[in-house]
Amino acid sequence: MKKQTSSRRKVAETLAALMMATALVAPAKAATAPEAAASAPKDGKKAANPCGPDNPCGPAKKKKKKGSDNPCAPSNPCAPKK
Amino acid sequence: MEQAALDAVAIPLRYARAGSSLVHAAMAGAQRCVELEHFPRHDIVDTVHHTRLYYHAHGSRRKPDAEHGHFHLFAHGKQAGDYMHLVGISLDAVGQPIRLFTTNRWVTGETWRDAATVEAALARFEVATRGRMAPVARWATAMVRLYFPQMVQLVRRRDAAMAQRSARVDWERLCEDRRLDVVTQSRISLVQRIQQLGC
Repeated sequence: MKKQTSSRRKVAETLAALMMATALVAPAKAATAPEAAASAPKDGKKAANPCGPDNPCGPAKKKKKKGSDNPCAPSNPCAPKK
Repeated sequence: MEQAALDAVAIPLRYARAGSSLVHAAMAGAQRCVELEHFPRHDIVDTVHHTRLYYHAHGSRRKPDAEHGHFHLFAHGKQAGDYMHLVGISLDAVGQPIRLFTTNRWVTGETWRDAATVEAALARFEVATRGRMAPVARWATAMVRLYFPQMVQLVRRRDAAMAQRSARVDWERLCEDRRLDVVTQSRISLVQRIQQLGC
């Protein structure tokens, strides 16, 4: 019981301290729109969805790097030495 | 519950005392927040608990004016590419949590699961990582424990809203409806929740 009271007091004190400290925090700047050049489709075609990407909040997808099927293979295994 | 309450307030307090905030921490050191960019870039992925989270910001018809950005919390299934969205947690510009919300399938491209399945995933939710994002992950875990009943209600209301709409609209169209990005939402206040719990 004593332990519970003390941990509750700790939460209450921390919360009060957080409220005071938060009042002094500089607000984060709002998100900016992606630069037009970066968001324009590169192949000149119209974007499939003018209002945003497909599944705008989906998990991050790992981009496949070139040659990632065989990550340890040389880029041109049969080419002559330069 | 008291430990969750303590984590939910002590972690942002540490940032605030250092002149920072949970928003800056969530942005993983990035100086600029570009719409829809993930923070951290490849998300926080917990392969032990099969969970994931990231922070980002973008506009939406139902976004509160005070919102800076939000976390998306996920649980992964056993197969690659199988994941479900659990809940979104919005922060204001100084890092205070202000909203919980659910989304339709289009928003995250998830495998749609019913409320009971999401509820079970929320009950065992834990996300952990190493490095500077570790406190952010711990804070998100604490928030799920602290707001578990509200999150469950939100997901149940999501299913009820979807079922009600599906009487008029085809289910597939509903899942992919881009105007229905946020299905249910609820405003939250850490102060009120902690007072409610009597912590």
